[in-house]
Amino acid sequence: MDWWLTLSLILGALLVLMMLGLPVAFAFLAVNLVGAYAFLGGTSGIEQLVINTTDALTSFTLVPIAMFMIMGEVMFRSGIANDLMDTLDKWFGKLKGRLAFMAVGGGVLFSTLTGNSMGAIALLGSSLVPEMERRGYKKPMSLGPIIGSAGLAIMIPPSALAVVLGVVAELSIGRLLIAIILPGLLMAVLYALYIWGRCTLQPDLAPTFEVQPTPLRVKVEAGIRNILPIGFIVFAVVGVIFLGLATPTEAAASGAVATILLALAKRRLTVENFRVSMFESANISVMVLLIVAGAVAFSQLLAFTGTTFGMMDAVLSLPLNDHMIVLAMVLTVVLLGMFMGPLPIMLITLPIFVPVVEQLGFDTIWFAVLFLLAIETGSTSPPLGAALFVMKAVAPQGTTMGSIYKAAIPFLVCDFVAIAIIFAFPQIVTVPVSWMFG
Amino acid sequence: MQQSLSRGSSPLALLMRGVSRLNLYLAGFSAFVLLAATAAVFCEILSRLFFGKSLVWVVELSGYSLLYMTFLGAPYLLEKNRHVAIDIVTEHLPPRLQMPLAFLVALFGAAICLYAAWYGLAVTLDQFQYGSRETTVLAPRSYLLTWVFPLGMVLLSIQFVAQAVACLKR
Amino acid sequence: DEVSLNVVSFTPKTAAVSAGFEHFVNAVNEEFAGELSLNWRGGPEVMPPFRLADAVRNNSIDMALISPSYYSGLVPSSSSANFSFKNYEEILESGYYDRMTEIHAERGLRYLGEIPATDVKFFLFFQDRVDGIDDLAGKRIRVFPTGLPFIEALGANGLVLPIGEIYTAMERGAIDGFMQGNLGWAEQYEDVVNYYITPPFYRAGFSILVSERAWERLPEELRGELQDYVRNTLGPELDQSWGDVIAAGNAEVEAAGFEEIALEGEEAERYLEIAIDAAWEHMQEQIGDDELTAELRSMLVE
Ligand code: NA
Ligand code: NA
Repeated sequence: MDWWLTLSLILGALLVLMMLGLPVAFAFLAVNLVGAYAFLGGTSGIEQLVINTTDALTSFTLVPIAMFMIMGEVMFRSGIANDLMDTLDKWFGKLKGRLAFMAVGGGVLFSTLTGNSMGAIALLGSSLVPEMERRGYKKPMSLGPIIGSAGLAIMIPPSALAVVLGVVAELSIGRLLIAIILPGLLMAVLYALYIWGRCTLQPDLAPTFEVQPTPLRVKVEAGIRNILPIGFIVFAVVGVIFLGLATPTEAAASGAVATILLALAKRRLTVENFRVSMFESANISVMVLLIVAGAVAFSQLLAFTGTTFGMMDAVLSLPLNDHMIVLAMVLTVVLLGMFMGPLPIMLITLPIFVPVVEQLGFDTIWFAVLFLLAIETGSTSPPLGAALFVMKAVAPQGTTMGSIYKAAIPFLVCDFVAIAIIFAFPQIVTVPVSWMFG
Repeated sequence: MQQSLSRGSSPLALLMRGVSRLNLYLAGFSAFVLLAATAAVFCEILSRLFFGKSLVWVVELSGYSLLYMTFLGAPYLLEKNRHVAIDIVTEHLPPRLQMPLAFLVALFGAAICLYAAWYGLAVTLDQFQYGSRETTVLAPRSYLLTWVFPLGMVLLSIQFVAQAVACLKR
Repeated sequence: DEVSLNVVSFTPKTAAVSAGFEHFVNAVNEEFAGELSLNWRGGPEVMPPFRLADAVRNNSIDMALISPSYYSGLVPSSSSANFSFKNYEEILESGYYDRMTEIHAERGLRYLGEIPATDVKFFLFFQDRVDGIDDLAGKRIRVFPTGLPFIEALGANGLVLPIGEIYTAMERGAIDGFMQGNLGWAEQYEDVVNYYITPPFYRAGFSILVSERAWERLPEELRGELQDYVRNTLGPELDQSWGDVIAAGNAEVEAAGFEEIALEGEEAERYLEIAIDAAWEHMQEQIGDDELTAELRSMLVE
């Protein structure tokens, strides 16, 4: 069978099942069952699917998603997130979209903490979204900035994904980690510009109010009481990594413990609060992990069929000039990123793309940065981007998938603008690298 | 949505109440597992910091805890209808189509979960008889991990059937 | 009629060790053209490496090319193949491969043979200088499970971390070093690795497992020919084929500026002895059959 026929059959079946309202995790399961039967030797394939699905979940690298969930839930339920926003209101009440900016700022901040965008959405989504909505923020300004900026987790070190990319593509990890920083910040700036523009045009998306003139002393006090302690949490995650006390994955646990301790210190963590926080963190983690397990097995089946190789061959044989070939490769990765996990995409495409990029005479680090950006973009693309499913899991109940898609699209456009800028100006990548490494 | 099934005192209603209780307990257990895993990873950091000794079992056990969490916690979430679903098509359907579609989708879900549960059970039994172990430091028996898959899938299947029945009653 | 078999390796197709797999697949396809064709579907992106042997056992793939230490959960004695300093022909002569075929068969697996790599060995890599064996005590070293007994016997602390964590953990000092082969990664880690210890220890060799269903599909005669070719003709050839790959790996280590800490004389001997003894002691526990352990050890170690 031609690769495109197989691919459209498999993807088509998946999409139809999801659109009929079968929960995402079970749509993956159904397609995986049929695929495993068809491609892996009948019922033997089903047995192997059971084994591979359980294998996908016994992975330490997924642990931070659940632990960042605890941080977010505890911050929300113990009122730490609420205090933070009250304080920001005291300081910046009149600034349009201040909480959306905070989400982007938080995205940047937490992306220095984590290397995992699902973990970042789990944390920011559960702690910020409910409060933002309570303060009258509409979905485009509550969900969007978080979906957008959570992806920065992989664009700002530490980034497990960048490290894995370095290993798979045989590029210097040190250079790659430097190379992603400026593009990550560029994305943050684009997001902020969009928020500013949209909030100016549609002020009701992010209501402002007249702030009672607060004496500076009160402002400062509130800052010390409510913002400084956040520094303790940040230290518990990023500080322990920096001091070499913990690996990035382990740091998620110290962050969760620090958040619980802070809530205790503020005397806000009742037994009931804690019980509900843990129960909800587990619930949301379960939803996310069940989808992850299905998606991992789905990626493996797709790889086994060889359709992904067929797709790459087709892209590389397009009659295009050198620059356009690189662009076509990047777009292929965006496309694959919509329905496959980052690691299989890297294993399938990098060994073929990187030599081509080298042969065409382009900078491979530059391509690697575009590649990461493309994966990030794909994972936030409707209809199947995994980040959107995570947002659906953490968003307040009653949030529709349609509203998540709508909120995500403008930030997707920002991502494409970032890709275009970096594509047109490779210096954004090459200058800092040569500056650091001579 | 499932309340209609567990109301009354027919054997079916009693069964559904029992299943519902089990789902809740398992979800609670899943939260406990998460808490334990977090504590374990934190202990690993402290142990290296204060005793210069790594607890080699932590990485492995926290991975296993994710597996347990997921399959033990999933049925409760289906009962509460909270699994992530794409609603953009279904919510725009005329109401007289929504019910039959939901019925069919629920039956389909029940079928695939039951099918997966069956083979999950086959794999678990095979691993038990064969004596396979995980290829890790702790090397636990594989069936001790795999068994949560068929258990979760059976409970999910029951929950899907309950959804389908609830559709009919409306 | 040509029989086509789906092959999956435990490493990505383009990884340095996969050179041996490519050699193997091409050689078999050439030797048995028209009768047998191996279709190499890919590596970890297709099947999780630690589940590859399960997939062969339940017939969902036809052939696996896999490190023996990746399925010690199915065949407890499989990783013994790593714990030797002999070359392929010496091990072949000892009868080890025939014995492994029996042991695999008892566990319901068909062991076609090995893709040997005697000269692919393991090293300890460090960020900071270490002075000799005694300096290793208390160091935090990332290992894969097979290497843990050695690290513990050195008095060091073994950590099992995901691959994506090694770089940051080294950079930030959460670990002092790690155990690894030296093929095809040095340049990526040049910023965080500065030293490595020689002599290297153990040997590499990759099992070729065939599923029962695939084996049945091969004509009787072909089975014999295939096994004979893989063990007696291709095996020695493959064992000699790593020169370029190893040279490239060494060149990378040099280009990355890693400095060798060469243990000499008695200390080097003690180092290798600890490596082998710790591994076999652990093998004994894992196999749970002292007689079998002794038998395998006598085949692999003088
Ligand atoms: Na990051
Ligand atoms: Na984004």
